[in-house]
Amino acid sequence: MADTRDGPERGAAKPVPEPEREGGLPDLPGPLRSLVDFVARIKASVHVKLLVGFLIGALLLLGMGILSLVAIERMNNQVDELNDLSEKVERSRQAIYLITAQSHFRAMALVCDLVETPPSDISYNDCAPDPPWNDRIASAKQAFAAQVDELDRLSPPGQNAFFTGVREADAGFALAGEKALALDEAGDPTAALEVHLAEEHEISHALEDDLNALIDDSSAEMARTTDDFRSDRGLLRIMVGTFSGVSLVTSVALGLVLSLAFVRPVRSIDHVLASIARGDFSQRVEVPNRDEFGTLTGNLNDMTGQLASLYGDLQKKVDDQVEELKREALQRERIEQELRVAHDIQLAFLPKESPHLPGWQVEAYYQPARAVGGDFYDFIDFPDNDNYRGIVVGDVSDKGVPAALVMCASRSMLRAASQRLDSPGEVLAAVNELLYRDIPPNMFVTCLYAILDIESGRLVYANAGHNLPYLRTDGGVAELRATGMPLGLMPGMTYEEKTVTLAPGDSVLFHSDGLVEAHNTEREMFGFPRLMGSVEKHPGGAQLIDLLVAELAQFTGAGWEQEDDVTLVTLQRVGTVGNDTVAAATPAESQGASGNSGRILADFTLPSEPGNERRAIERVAEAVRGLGLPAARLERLKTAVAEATMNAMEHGNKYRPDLPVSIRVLVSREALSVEIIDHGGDQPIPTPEAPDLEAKLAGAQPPRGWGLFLIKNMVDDLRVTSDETHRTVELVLKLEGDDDARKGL
Amino acid sequence: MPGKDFEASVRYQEGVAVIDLRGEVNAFADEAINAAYAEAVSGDSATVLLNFDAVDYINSTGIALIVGLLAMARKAHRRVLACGLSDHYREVFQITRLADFMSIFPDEVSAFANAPASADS
Repeated sequence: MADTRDGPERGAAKPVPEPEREGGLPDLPGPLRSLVDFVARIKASVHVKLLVGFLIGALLLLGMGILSLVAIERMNNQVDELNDLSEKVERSRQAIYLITAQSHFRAMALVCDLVETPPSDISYNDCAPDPPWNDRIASAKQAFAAQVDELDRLSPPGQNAFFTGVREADAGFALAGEKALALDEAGDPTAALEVHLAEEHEISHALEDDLNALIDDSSAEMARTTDDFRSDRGLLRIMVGTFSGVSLVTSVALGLVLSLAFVRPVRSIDHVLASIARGDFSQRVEVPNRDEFGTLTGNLNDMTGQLASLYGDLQKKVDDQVEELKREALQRERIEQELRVAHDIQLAFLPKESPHLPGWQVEAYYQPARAVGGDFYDFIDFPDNDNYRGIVVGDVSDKGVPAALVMCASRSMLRAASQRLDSPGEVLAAVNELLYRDIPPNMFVTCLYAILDIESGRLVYANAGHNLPYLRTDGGVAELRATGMPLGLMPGMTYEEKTVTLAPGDSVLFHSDGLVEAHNTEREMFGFPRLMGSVEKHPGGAQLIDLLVAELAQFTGAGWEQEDDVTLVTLQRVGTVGNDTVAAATPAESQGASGNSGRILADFTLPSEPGNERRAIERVAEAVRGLGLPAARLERLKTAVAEATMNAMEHGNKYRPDLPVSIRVLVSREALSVEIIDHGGDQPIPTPEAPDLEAKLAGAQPPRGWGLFLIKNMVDDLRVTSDETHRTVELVLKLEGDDDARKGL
Repeated sequence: MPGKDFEASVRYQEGVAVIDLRGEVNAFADEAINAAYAEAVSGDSATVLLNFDAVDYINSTGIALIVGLLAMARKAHRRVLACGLSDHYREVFQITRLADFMSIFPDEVSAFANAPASADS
C-alpha cells in the first residue's frame, strides 16, 4: 500500500497538496493550518483522535465542577459561622437581660420589705408577685448560667478565659445577692439594700459590660465573615464563567481542528475523484494525515495511477477505433452516396407514371428491399403503333447493386428487342441470348413480357419463369400460364406465347415474389392462395394495390424487415356507365356494409397511420367528382370523412399498421354515403354532443373532443353500426333536391 | 420547429403580433403553433392575429390547438383575431363557436382596419 507522504512517483501525476481552496474550504491562517497539520500528522486512528478530543472537553468540564464544589463548601462553612455568630449575639443579649433582671428583682424585693406601704407607683402585686422575687432571681440566675454555657460552646477556644472571668463574676454576683438576702431575712432591709447597691448592682453592670463587649466582638466577626462570603461568591462566579468560556473555546477549537484535519483530505479526495470522473487522471492527493485518511489517499493515488494506465490504453484503443469508424463512416458514406445515385438511376429506369390508356386503368407499385433492387417493371411505347403497349415485370435473382445492374441491363435489352421484334416470346428469347453471354453464372432474370392491344383488349404474353399473373373476370380468378426458362440461364431457349382478351371489368395483376414470399412472425409465407383470394375478393386497379399493401402490412406485422423487392402492376379494363367512367369490375349495384344499397364509387383501404385521413379525403373526393356536389357540400363531406377516418385509425385501430381502415363510397338516387370501417367493434361511439367551449377555454376541460361534433354537423346523417369485430361509421349526404349531384348519377 | 407540412412564423405590425400559419393545422402542428404563440406573446402585443391565408386543412386536432391557444390568450387578457379562413373553415369556426371568442376577418387588411380599435378596447 503506497503512502502519499512518500511524494509523487508516477511520472506526470500532479500532487494535489490541498488545492487552492481545498475543494471549497477557505484558506487557513498560518497558525491554524499548523495546528491542523499537527493533528493530522499525529500517528493515531481517527477514532482515537476523536476520543482524545472529546476527553479534553470532558476534563475541562470536570475541573470546573470540582473547583465549584470546593468554593461552594467554603461558602457553606461561612454560612454556618455566620449562623453561630448570630446566635452568639442573641444569647449575649438574653444573658444581659437576665443579669439586669436579677438586679431589678433584688431591688424590688428589698424596696417592698423596706417600706411597709409601697409607694404609690408600686402596686401591691409588684410587692407580692407570683412567683416571688427571690424565686424569679433564682430562675434568672439559672438561665443566665445556661446562656453562658451556650455562649462558651459557640465561641472559639481562645475565649475560654473570657468565660472563666464571666463565671467568676457571676459567682461574686451570687455571693453579693446571698449576702443581701441574708440581711433582708435578718430583718435589716436597709443594710441589705446597701449591700445590693454597693456590691450586687455593681457586679451586674460589670457583667453587662463584658457581655456587650462580647456582642461587639461577635458583630465585628460577622461583618468580616460576611465580607469573606461575598468575596467567595464573586470568586465562584468568575470561576464558573471562566471555565465555561475556556471549555467553549476549547471545544470549538478542538472541533474545528479535528474536523479540518479530517475534512481537508476528504475534500482533496473529492477533488481528485471529480477530476477522474472528468477523465483527468493526472491529479494526486497529498495530505499530511497519518490516520485512515492517509491510508485512503494512498490507496486512491495507487488506484488513480492504475486507472490512468488503463485509461491511456483504453483511450488509445478508442482513438484507434474512432479512426477506424471514421474511415468506415467515410467509406459507408461513399457507398451510401453511390447507392443514392444508384437508386436515383434505377428509379430513372422505372416509369415516372403509369400510362393513361383510354378504357384502361394501369397502376404500379414498387418497393425495393434495399436502396436498389432487382425488381423492375416497364411500360413500352411503340412509336409506329399507338394501339399497342408493352408491359414488363421482371425480377433479378439477387438483390442490391448486382441485381440493380443486371436489372438495368435487362430493361435496356428488353426495350431494344421490343422495338424490333413483335412477338413477346421472341423478345424474351433474344434477351436471353444477350444476357446469357454477359450475366454472372449464378444469376438469372425472371420476366413476363406482354403486349396489350388497347382497343381490343387482347393481351399477348410470354413468361421467362416469372410469377404467373392473375386474371380476374366475372368468372373468377385464373393464372395466366406460359412456359419459359428464366433469362440468362441457358442459351437457345424458346418461350411459349399465350393470348387472352380482357373484357370490360376484367383485370390482371402482375407481381413479383416479394409479396407472396413475405413471412410473418410465425415464419408463414403470404403465399399464392392468399394473393389469389385477395384478387378474387376485390376489384383491380389502385384499390387492389392499396388493399394488397395493407394486407401485407397486416400479415407481416409492425417492425417487418422487408425481405425482397415488391412489385405490383395492375391492368384493368374499365367499362362505361352513363356519363361516368367507373371500374367495370365493380358491380353496378352493391350493398354497403351497413346494408345500404347503391353503386359503389370507391372501395379502398388505408393503413392506420397518422395523416392518412388526407389520402381518404383525396380518394373520396376523386370518387364523387362526377356527382357535381356543390363546393360547400363537398368541403363538409371531406371534413366529415377526415374526422371519421381519424377516429377509425386512432380509436378503432389504435394506429396499428396491421389494421387498415376500409372506406367505401356508395351512391343511390337518394343519398351519397361513405362507410368508414375499423376494427373497433367492441368500442361504442359516444353520442355526439356540443362541446362546452367555455369550459375548454377556462381550462376546466381538455381542448380536444371536436371530432364527432364536427362530423355530425358536416353531414345530413350519421349512422354507427358494429359487429363483434368491425365498427362502421356511415356518413350520409342526401341528394334529393341536389340537382347537380343527381345529374351525376 | 416546423411540424409535418406545417409552419408558423411571427411578425409584428402596428403593435399586433401576426402569426402566419402555412400548411395543415393538425396534430403535427402542435409544437410549431405553440412555439409561435410563445414568441408572439414574448413582446408587449396585446393582440394576436392568426393568419390562415396559407392554411389548406384544419382537422379537429387543429381546432383543439386553436382552442388551447385561445385559452392561453384569454388567461393573459390578450385578444385573438383570425383572418384568411376559407368559407368552409369560417363555417367550421362558427359551428364550433370559436367565432364567438375571436373576431374573424376576411383578410389581413380588414383585420388591421378593425384590430387597433378592438385591441385598445
